[in-house]
Amino acid sequence: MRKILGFTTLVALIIFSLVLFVESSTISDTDAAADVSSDGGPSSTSFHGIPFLTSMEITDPQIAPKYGINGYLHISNSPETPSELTLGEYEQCLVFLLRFVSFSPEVTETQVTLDPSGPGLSIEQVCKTGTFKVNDLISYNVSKTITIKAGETIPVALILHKPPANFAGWVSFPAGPVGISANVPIIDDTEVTVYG
Amino acid sequence: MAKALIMIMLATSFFLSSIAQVTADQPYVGGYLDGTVVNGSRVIADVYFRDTDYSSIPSSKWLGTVISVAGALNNNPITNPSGVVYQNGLLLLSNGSVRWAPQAWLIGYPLCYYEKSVGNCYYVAYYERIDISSPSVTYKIFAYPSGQSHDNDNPAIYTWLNQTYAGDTTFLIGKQLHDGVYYKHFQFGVESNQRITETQWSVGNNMVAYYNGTAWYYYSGKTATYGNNAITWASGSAWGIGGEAYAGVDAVETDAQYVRWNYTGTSVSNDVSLWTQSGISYDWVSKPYQ
Repeated sequence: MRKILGFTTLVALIIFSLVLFVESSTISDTDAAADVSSDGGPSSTSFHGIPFLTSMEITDPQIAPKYGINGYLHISNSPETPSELTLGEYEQCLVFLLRFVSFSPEVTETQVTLDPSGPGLSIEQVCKTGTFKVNDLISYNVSKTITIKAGETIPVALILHKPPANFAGWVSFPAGPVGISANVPIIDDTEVTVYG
Repeated sequence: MAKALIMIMLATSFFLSSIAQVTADQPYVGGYLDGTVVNGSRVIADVYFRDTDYSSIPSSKWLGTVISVAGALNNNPITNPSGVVYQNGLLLLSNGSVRWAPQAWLIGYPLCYYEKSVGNCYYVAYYERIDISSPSVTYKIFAYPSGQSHDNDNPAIYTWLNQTYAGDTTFLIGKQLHDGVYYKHFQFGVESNQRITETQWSVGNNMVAYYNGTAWYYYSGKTATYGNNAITWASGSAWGIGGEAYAGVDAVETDAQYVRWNYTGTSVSNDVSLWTQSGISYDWVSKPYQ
């Protein structure tokens, strides 16, 4: 009798859990069509929300796969790379860390392209004497395309040159790993401000 | 044994409902340009967080301000969206840093994503802009760290180059009725992962405009609350920005092309007029974004 009672309780709890989960999931995915018709007149069109993702969601293995995200590329300053630096007479070498995080055992690596004149991030600084492109001041010490395995961190050295003399009026500008592209979301946590 | 199983099931049920709750949040309230639907190649808004006490934002939350626009093929005919939504947004975090997160969506899935720190809450202005020039979409941020950089018009310009999707060649601007639903194709507003109720935060959206081929132009502005803010249609459904209404947020200050969203505890209603003017956008910077 006690066993039967325990089993019945267990089955009831499983059903309760599933109902709770399905109901919550449904709320997250779809709203009633009435929400739409109240604005636009009679309609049977269903309404769905488009969320806005950030690194908080993309780095969360419980949330990201719900949106078909199986991993991400994380870029950070190496410990020896300062967040602020003064650019003297010479070029500067800055080291950044590229790490690929996978949420799926089937996704074991990702290809990353580093090309300051290619797709990805570019930075321009407007100053008194015009606009210069930070990408034109940057070169990398690695080949254009690299493969990063899941869980692997690869240091990449970036050489930063001085802006051309005709842009002498600049006060400061942001710099960092520009022209990086991959087939996974990129979260760039680097922060470097260059002063004259 | 039975007790242990009961505990496991209760924990599982709590865990599963918690996961669903995380995705269920995403409160949003915004506005839209209320005019006849037209094509546009660029959209823009000047945004700021400077009146917000960032230290009161919990570390698990972010305060975002986002512009969103529907993509379209201009021979499809011109008023038919593709279903793709392009978004450019900035997030204020609990440490005062401001991060940029451009992204594009189709039927509930992200198509591309990038995130980078671009400054802090003390910056006097950021312009969020999205350009389409098939086969590319560029997401831009014009960051003005100080009053001096603003006065001298010396921003740092961040550009993330990505591709168009679904053959998009243009953006849709304005409002249109389709199958009984009003679609508001270009929206601006505030969004979080979860409601931020710990401080009376404030976010400004200014100089909201689109580029019509010859000039930056704007229509009158109205509010669009979640559920009434469909931006595009795809797969037989209407798709809107966010995941629920941002309760407690009001539009406390408005002017032509300008609204300041403020968490006051009072929720702004849908389709409230923000400004009635329309015309060519005149800015106080000399438009490096031109």
